[in-house]
Amino acid sequence: MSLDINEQYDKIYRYCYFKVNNRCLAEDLTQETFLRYFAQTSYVNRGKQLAYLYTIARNLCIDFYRKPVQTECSGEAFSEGGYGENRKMAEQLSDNPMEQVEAALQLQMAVDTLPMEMQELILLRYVNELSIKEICKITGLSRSSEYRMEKEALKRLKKIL
Amino acid sequence: MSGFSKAQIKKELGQLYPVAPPQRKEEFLKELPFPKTSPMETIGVQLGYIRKSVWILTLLLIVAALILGKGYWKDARDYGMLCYFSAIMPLLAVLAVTESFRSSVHGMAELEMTARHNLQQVLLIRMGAISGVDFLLMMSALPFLAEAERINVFRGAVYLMVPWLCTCVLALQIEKYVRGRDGIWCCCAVGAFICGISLMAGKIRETVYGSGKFYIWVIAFFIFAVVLAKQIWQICHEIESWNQNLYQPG
Repeated sequence: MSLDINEQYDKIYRYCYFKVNNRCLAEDLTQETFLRYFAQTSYVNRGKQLAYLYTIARNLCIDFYRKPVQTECSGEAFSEGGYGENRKMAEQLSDNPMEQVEAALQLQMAVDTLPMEMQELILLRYVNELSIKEICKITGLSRSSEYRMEKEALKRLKKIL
Repeated sequence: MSGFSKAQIKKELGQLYPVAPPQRKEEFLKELPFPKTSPMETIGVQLGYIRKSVWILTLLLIVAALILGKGYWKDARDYGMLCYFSAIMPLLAVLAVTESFRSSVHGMAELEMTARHNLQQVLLIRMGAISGVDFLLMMSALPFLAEAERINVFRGAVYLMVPWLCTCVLALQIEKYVRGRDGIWCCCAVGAFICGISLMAGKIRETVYGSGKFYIWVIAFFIFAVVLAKQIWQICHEIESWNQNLYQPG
């Protein structure tokens, strides 16, 4: 197993948070992802590890929205302020000059205007630093579609900013 | 942000989506049931890490011994073929043992120590895999060799195993004292020296491989086998104590 579990835990957690927008639920889904991942020992030792991990997380997030009865955490779902609130927290904690924080805020707002597929792509590609090949495996997109979508997202962001 | 290039936007995107740190991470990772690999899976994985050049050289040495010994094929009881096969055994042993130097030469020892298996375990598996393949190749050639030289299979096996065991013992001993690339060269020198002795012994092969002196080969075989077993036991013991130290509370 060549994955850095500690690092991947944070990345999967961020991905789940992006999907469900609830800290408690995101952590539950992250843990469930790892439990399911390690339940498949044969795949863990030979397969495409990262893509498999993200595919489980993605499917779990989809299942969460499909379920009519939701868990205890779901009561808080969407009640959190999302990345805007987290950004405020980051601002408080950040040692960066105000200009940088402002620029990052503008960028976050610009990204929020993009369709969900593009946002997911940006998160996977630039925040979680996955390769194009892995993203294609997770999202089911072809290499050219992924490339086009990424180019389009950057173009839109540049236009907004 | 206005007027920023795409490259700058890409760089900034990496800082997006900040989330509060997970609260149950440490607790979860501590209790996470990591799956254990079976010994066969471990060997399979380690086989993949052995360089292709090792396998190619092994094959080339065997082919060379076959070609050189071919001239003696028809002259039964001449021990020519046996002499060449016996001469390549130290070189095959060097190929197996020097696998253990590879990680230290490339500065990978510490990295491997932190992986699922510790370094000695990994190296022992790799050396075992190469030696196992050598052994299988030799065992498959042995009946033909014994038939050509008109000797029994046990005798043939002893003639082949003694130089192999001797080289392994010396190379593992060298490994204890000489680290890194120098160690590889020392092992190669030892292998070449024993190979040279075997080839030179070919000139007096009737005396060396004759029935009269076979008891010396048997004694040497048992001595080297016992010493090698002791060396492997010591490596295994090191692995155990390493594991115990690893899981002992600080």
